[in-house]
Amino acid sequence: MSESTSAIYVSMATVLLVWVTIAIYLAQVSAQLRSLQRDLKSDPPGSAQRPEEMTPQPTAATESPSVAADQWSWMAWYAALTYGCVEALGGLQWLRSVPKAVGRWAK
Amino acid sequence: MAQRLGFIGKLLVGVWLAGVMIATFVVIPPYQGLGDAGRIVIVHVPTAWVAVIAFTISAVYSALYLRRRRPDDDAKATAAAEGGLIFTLLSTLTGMVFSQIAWGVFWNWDPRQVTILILLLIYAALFALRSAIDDPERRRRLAAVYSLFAFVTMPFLMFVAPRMADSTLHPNCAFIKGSDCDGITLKIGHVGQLGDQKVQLLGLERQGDIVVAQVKVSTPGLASEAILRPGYDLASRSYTDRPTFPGQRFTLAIESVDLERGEARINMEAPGSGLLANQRTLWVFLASNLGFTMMFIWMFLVRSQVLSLEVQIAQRKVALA
Repeated sequence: MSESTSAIYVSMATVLLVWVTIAIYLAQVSAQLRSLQRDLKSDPPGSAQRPEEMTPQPTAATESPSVAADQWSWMAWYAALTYGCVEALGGLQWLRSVPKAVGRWAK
Repeated sequence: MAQRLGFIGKLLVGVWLAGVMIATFVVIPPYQGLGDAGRIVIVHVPTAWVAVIAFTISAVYSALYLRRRRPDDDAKATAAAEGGLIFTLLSTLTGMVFSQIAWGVFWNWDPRQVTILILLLIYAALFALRSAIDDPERRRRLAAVYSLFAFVTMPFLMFVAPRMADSTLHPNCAFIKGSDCDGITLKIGHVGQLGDQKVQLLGLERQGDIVVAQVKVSTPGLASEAILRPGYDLASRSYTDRPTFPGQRFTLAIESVDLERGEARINMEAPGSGLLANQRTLWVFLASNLGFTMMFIWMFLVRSQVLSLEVQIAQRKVALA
């Protein structure tokens, strides 16, 4: 593989990494939004209150923290994926720099 | 109607960014010296810019929360900070790949790399803080105050600190012509430092309008050294020949010469200097900036809606209990 061919693959892989990250984030957040909207709609009618009618009340610890456990695991997966990509790029470079063996290995 | 407009908006963002990505590989010409790897800049710089916008929005909503105490403002501040963190991370990663191609290492502790890492840690700490506090009201208040403090460091870390450093190989030095990176002026026999290279001006030789300098270059601490001969045209006041540093893609250029005083101003240039001078590159770059900004707005709107709904559901549960 020539140097310029390798460079265009590396650039494409980098752009892909950006899109995969954004796509995963958007897919996850959109799924969360749909699920929350379903939860809001499926509440019993008697208990349903319009959000603007609600008076702000001191909330208890029922509200989830902004970074939930599954998001931490996503971050761990993402870190592993990134590390894998970086290692793969390093490996590719190493392969390029090692001269090809000619002939057979002596037993 | 609003739903339809939202769908059309999302479709437009998708089509726009798909066009930018195709243009990145089809319309933009390869850069001299960097070849196809320079295309990463079309993604790398806009992601950093969007991070700046995101952190600014986060700070604005944090201030609004402290003033109005509306959970919606906190949701928006959090959504913006989350987007900012993601885009900072993407900018760092794409920069690392670019660094590997241009400088030969993924991470070389360049001032801008260090400052963006500090910024990442500062905003990562915001989320650690949020997840560590159970009481929502207290969490919102502390996060808003922290977010404002974090925002104060952002302009310094993104714009000021990297430009204060004497030796940075980052765009403000290496890519934009006429920037404040003036190189160093050396008299014959004197030694200086350019980036991580030690340089010594050995002599200046005039041949008509052309002046050829003899410059000894070496990496401090390493035994290997080389003599480079960059050229300068006195008539056009521009370089004629820019030799490459041994083992690197950077070039050595003369930017001005004073023969009477026996001195020359020399500078190190990254391959692809004057990157945006190409019209097609410039337009794709601007389109990419706009596209990533729109993408961030999309992410921000969806995420802030999720956080607001979570607050509403929690409040409803409390009201029912």
